[in-house]
Amino acid sequence: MAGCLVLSACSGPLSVLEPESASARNATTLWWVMAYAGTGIFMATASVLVLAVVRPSWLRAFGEARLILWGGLVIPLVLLAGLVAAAFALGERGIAAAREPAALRIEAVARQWIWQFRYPGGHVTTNLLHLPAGRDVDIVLTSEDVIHSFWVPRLAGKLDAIPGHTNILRLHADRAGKYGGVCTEYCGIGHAPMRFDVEVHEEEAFRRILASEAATAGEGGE
Amino acid sequence: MRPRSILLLGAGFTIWASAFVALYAMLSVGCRFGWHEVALEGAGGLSLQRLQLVAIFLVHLAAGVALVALLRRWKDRGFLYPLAYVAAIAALSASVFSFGAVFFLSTCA
Amino acid sequence: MSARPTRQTPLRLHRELAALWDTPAGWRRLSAVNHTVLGKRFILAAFFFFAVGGLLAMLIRVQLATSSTAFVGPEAYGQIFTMHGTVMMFLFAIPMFEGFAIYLLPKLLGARDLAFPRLTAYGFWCYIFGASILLLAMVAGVAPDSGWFMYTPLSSSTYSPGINADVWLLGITFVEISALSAAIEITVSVLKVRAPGMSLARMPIMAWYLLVTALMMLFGFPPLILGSILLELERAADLPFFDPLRGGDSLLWQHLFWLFGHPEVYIIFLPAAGAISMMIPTFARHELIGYRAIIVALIAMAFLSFGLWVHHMFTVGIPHLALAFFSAASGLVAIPTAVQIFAWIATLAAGRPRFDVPMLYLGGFFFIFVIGGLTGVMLAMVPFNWQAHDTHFVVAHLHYVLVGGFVFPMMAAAYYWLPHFTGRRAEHRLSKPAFWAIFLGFNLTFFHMHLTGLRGMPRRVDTYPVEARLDWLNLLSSVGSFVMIIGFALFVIDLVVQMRFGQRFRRNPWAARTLEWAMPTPPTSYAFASLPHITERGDRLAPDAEGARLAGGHGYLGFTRNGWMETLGVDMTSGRPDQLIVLPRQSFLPLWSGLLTAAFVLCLLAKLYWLSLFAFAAIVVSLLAWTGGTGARQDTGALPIGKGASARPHWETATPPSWWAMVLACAAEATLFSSLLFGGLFLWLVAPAWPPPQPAMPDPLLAAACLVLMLLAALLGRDAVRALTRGGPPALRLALCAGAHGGAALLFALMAASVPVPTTHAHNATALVLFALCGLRAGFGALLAGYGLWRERAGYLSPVRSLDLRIGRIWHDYAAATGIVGIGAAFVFAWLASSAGAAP
Ligand code: HEM
Ligand SMILES: [Cu+2]
Ligand SMILES: [Cu+2]
Repeated sequence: MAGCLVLSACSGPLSVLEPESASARNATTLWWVMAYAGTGIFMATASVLVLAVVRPSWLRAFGEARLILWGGLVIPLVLLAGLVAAAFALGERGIAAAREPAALRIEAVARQWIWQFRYPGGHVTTNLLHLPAGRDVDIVLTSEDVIHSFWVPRLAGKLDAIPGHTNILRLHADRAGKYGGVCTEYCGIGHAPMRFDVEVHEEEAFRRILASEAATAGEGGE
Repeated sequence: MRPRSILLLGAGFTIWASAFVALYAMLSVGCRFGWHEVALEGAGGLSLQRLQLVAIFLVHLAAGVALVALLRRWKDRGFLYPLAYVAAIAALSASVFSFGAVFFLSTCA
Repeated sequence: MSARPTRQTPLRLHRELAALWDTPAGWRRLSAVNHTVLGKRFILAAFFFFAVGGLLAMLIRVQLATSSTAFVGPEAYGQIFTMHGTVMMFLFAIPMFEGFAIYLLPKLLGARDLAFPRLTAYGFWCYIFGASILLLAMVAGVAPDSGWFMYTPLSSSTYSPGINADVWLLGITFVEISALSAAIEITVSVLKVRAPGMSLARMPIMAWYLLVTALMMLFGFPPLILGSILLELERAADLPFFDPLRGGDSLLWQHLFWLFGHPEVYIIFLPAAGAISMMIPTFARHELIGYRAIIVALIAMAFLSFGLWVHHMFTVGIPHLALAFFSAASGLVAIPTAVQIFAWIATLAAGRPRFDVPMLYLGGFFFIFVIGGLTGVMLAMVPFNWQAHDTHFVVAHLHYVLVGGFVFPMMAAAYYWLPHFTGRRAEHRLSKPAFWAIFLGFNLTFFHMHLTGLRGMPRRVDTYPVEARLDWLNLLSSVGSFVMIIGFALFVIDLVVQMRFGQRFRRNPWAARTLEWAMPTPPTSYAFASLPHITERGDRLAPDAEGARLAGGHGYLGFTRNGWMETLGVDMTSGRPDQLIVLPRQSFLPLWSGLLTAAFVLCLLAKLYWLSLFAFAAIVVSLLAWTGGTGARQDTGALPIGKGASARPHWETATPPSWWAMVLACAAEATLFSSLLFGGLFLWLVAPAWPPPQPAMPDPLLAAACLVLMLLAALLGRDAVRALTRGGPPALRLALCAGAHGGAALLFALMAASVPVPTTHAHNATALVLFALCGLRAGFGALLAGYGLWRERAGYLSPVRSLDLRIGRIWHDYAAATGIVGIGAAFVFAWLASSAGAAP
């Protein structure tokens, strides 16, 4: 996106601005739309303020009451209605995509201060999440102690892991690669280092890794 | 009888607040009891959940309209009435804006 | 009673009034109840805590300067950011606005003081003592460390076994007493204690802002107070409100916290916006455009801001439709803000703007706040929120809003009103460099923090991964924050220089047209030597001419009598004077009550629960002692108030300030009670581990007896008033009323005691608290009836002096109504908790 003057300024293993899935891309697109619109609105408002000082006669000719009506009510309301409708539509699209449960469910259990991932078949990894590329995966989030939050910025928005509750996050990575994940809900002194890696593999490789992981499952990953 | 109280200023938004509480509470109750999976034959396959939420919304909308109509009669009198009238209109519009989604969005997903 | 008062010379009038109103010197200063004195003290203390919060911010920025700064460890970092947020929100922003309101409000309304001067003082002491507890805990290294919103279970005893979380819960609740008393004080003062002729339509816009803010506080703080009580009960007595294994839910805390927490942001912003609405017209040399539009905007904002708390909880897993309600309301709240901004622009366009330092700072406000508002709308959009939530994007947003929306306007206000405090004009040597350092430093700190967040930096982390390449962005922020601090230092130096060396002026240096300038500066303790008659809207006055007239005693009450501290009360809407308010004298009682409250809190902190009961009793006694010497032992009748008018003293009128205060107190308590009922329903609906093993079904007989007693108490309370006004003796009825209340309290205690093992399940714990609360209300009712009896014996009551009983009657009615609701709720909860009410 042109918004990033220096291209590297937007990149990074945790960057929202480098999405690698449809849902993350939607959020990023929404962000850029809002960022440009916001800049425009800011400029427009600031210009009106400057006009009020340097060319007050223009604004007076427009009429003070009308200025409040249009600037304070009508224009923002129209913009807001559009934005809200777009956000609702995006949200509904995400729900529609996740209506049927995914074939693959991975349990993510958060605990102070590690992430444990349990795959079908009993494989377990710690602080490392393996995912297949190009497929829907449901991450079933629970917590064994305090509230944590699961966030892989390049793949999807975050969702909390709350003791006593189960939350399900739909992931769908476009292609193989390595991504970063973090805990984003403050959970005590180990919060900052409570990170995990996400490795997205081609289907074949994913199966192979699960098979080999099964042997080392008892050691708990890294 | 004309009520003369500063509370009139908040009348419209009180209806908005009541709608908010009722909708949010009944939405949660409905999801908990699975009303979104109860399709009503008589209502064209609408879910019980959607129906009750829409009903709550419409009742509050009607109350808001009634209030606006009532305040309209005194809208040129004194200081409080015009303000209460405009506030009631604002609240009515706010209701449409913030709860209009009851017609469209997924209720329990 | 004295004969008709005579008019005096201005100087003699000043001496007489000053002798009554001035705060004594020496250690007797501590007995101050005067709004000017206390307002200044609030502001000074809040400024001190701003410095403390700023210092903590600097520590944060040092730690985050690079990814490998080993400046403090994660334990200390937890305390630092928690205390930074807590200090800034609770010990700086709220008290700063309170101080500002306390100092300014009576002067804007044309009154000599606020409605309840001793309550102001008590609020001040609660603030100081509560804040001291937090500060001492920090010095001792046991400051709260679970973040300023204290999410459970992290803050429950399992994961925070130390005293840290108790310090937050008890200390902040203590400080909130001060916020609630300010809320009642401000509301009643705006509604009742104004100059004659100041109808609602003529109130200065600031009064509207403060009225709305105070009402928001009245309904916003109780949910948090309830939440804090419940969490403290869980920590201290193992009542499992938030424990998912025993039918509790941590989400309940989040709801209660944000039900307070979001309105809080507007509570902070609105008074600052009010200050802007006062300053812009002065510098535009034109009255405020859109006065009515702003009032409607305020009402809309007040309500809407209570309908968007869940936007802090978008990631907890909530149905899309529910998210949509909150998302739409969050976006919508931008509209009333936009209305205000364009009203200010329109005012500037209509006038002939003149530039001075406050306007420079308002320019800073505009730039920063608009950006904060825009990012706020972005965050309200759910798909984007899921990405940006709990990252440094939010940290950037909240500082753009809070610094832009509160700190910059308050700095402008400082330059605008400091001449009023000191009687000296600004030198303005450092104010401009200070502004630019703060403004540029602020943006250098926070602007690209949006980007830091989008590149994946969560908030509340003491380190970040090198691979994420966040180092240079963070370093830039840290450099920026030091530029900003230099700016604040210059600002402080500039203010001190102005206070010491500024040129003196006579009156109204900015040519403002509002009432606070119609008095000598620095202001006298009594503010107005005589009270004006207002015939124009509050921002169309001529303070210079008016000030001279009032000083000459040509307004209302331009005299003293009986050694009374007098001001006038008016009819709420029309502004017709309807009572002579006699205010209480300087007193040490608020200090004592404050000290006893502190002792109570310290007992709880030290887990000396038996001792705390004595402290509580002592607080009640000390508060009762406040009433000694109020009212009169014989009927007074209408008294002259000057300008040929007369009014009765407030205790002989139908709705004096204290009557309204009781109504508002009931409203606040009702909010707290509703929050509890909401909690009970919420847990049933949402929490895991339901139904409870042993539902708490109340004994129907006990409940029925209790109901009868509550109704009886209310009827007797009403009958006592009726008897008194008909000239009969109310004593027997009052005694019976107290007895009925006492009986009801006892029955509630019995019902509470018969709740089966409240530590096993949140349902049982809720029932316990429900009964306890109802019982406390009945107990307080007994106390009030007893108080009425005592006042009757002491001769303070007569058919015209029925106020004490009528205040009691409000409470008796209220206690009965809520007691009935409480009993009903207990049955409903028990039914829901039994298998019959269980969800599939
Ligand atoms: C003086 C300049 C200030 C600087 C440099 C500053 C800096 C910061 C930083 C870096 C954080 C994030 C800490 C973290 O998440 O690890 C933070 C948090 C916060 N700040 Fe400030 N701040 C300043 C002023 C203020 C003011 C004036 C207010 C309020 C009126 C405020 C309220 C808060 C709050 C509520 C938090 C959240 C605390 C939490 O996460 O528990 N700050 N501040
Ligand atoms: Cu964490
Ligand atoms: Cu909020």
